[in-house]
Amino acid sequence: MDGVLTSIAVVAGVGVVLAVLLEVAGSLLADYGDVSIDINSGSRKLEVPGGNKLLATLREEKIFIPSACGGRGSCGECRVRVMEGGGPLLPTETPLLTPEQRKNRVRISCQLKVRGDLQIEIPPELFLIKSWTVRLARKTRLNYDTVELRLELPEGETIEFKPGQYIQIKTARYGKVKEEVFRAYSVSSSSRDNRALEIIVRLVPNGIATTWVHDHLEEGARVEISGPYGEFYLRESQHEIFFIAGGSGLAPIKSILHQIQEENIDRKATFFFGALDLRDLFHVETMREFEKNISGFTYVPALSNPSEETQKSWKGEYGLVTEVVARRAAEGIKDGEAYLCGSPGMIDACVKSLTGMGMPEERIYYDKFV
Amino acid sequence: MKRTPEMKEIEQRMAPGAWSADGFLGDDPLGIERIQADRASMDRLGVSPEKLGEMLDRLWREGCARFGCPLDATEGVQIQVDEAKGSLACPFGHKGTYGKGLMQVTLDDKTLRFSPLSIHMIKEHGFFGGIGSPYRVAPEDIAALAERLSTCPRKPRGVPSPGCPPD
Repeated sequence: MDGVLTSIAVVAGVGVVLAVLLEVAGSLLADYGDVSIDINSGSRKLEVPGGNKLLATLREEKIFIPSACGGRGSCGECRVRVMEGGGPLLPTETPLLTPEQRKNRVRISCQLKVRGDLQIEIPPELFLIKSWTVRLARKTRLNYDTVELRLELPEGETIEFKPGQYIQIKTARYGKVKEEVFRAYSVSSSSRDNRALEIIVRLVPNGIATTWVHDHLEEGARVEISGPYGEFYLRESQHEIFFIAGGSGLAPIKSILHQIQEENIDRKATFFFGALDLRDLFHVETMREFEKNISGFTYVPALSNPSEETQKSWKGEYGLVTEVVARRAAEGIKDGEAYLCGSPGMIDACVKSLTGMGMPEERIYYDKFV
Repeated sequence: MKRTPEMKEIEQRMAPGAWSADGFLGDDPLGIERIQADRASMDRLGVSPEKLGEMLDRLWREGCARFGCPLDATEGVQIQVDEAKGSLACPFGHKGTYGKGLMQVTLDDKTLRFSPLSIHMIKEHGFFGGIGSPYRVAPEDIAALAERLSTCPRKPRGVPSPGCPPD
């Protein structure tokens, strides 16, 4: 068996060595010179040095393509349409694209090397994404595993975003972590406060970014961010609103609630927040303030695994958040509109439950933790 | 076995601070050659990593449906899944990403820890984590879990807590 493994390893190894040699030779010997990138039929024209990946090249030019994996070629989110140039589709791109996307000339920008002139198409709203080096003005502990960061923009700078959208932050190197990574966090603050942003970060065990935020990032530190990103925001309609969230999924909902309050949006709204126990709740007072200030708004926290101690004092709802929604709001669901933010399991269960109660799927908007 | 460049590259991705804060190798001197040692254990136990991975996948899905509420799977086995924001790629180079989160399986007095990525690496690569790594679970422990789940009936429904749905 060892012989077979050795043979496989040798063959694979030879392939990797050849690929590495080609890559090294390419970077040392190939001089691509300057190349031009035409974006959206002349909307922007770039003259850039060739040889880097398209995602990184565009980022250098302050054009930010959303990417969840930070350019490792695994998430497939950094898609752009390449209308001319770019060469054939690479084996590393193929599994990340649907047949329809391949037919429409969609490419994975973190895999595509800029070797010659390109004509590409990107959503025009990506031009609005900017980057800043911000200052961590305040770090507030919300509960045992969650903190809220207040990030202040440089003097004279402002950010325009739709409540519900997210930003990306770039972590610093620390301890054994030798590479910076990019991570997405929804903005939790009001969009009227355009000189600063607040985000909510829950600690993920063994997570590079959240460990950095919780254990290494101190008030006064400088942090690189970019944004805004995302399609999660309040739609204009008269439908009753059902917000459903868990954990740090509260963040975009809180931002939208600021908007409802500030713009006096007259719509009935209920926020169902799922938690295991009392210790998992946070921003309860903020939500109670929204209840006072927003006519027709109700906050419904629900505990699904309360301790015996909690059960002695808790007067609120018990159960999975989906069950509580069904119990409290079944009659209004059919004509309502839902905004969900939380774990994939919670989102999937909510979509199934809401559609089962008659809500059309096109009126369900969500921001999965992916 | 002599380490190939491919093995070295995988080990670099698995190192602490590369793709996760604590990495996947722990302080195991065997590195990813731990796969061979674990494969020998699996052969001895007569179970396959694919089958164990499928079982863990199923437990993960059952746990996810409870949004963090513990699930009493059978006598002496409790499962709790906490999904987290974000995703990770496979250090072995599989395309796609695997959600972040933690599944804690209590088997009598032992707690076994899994993530979607660790389950994938068990199922597809026979990699159970390096000794000393946060998600290392010995094949013997997973085989014991599989044995318990296959031989014991579902735990009789007790009095559920006010929040948790019945198991």
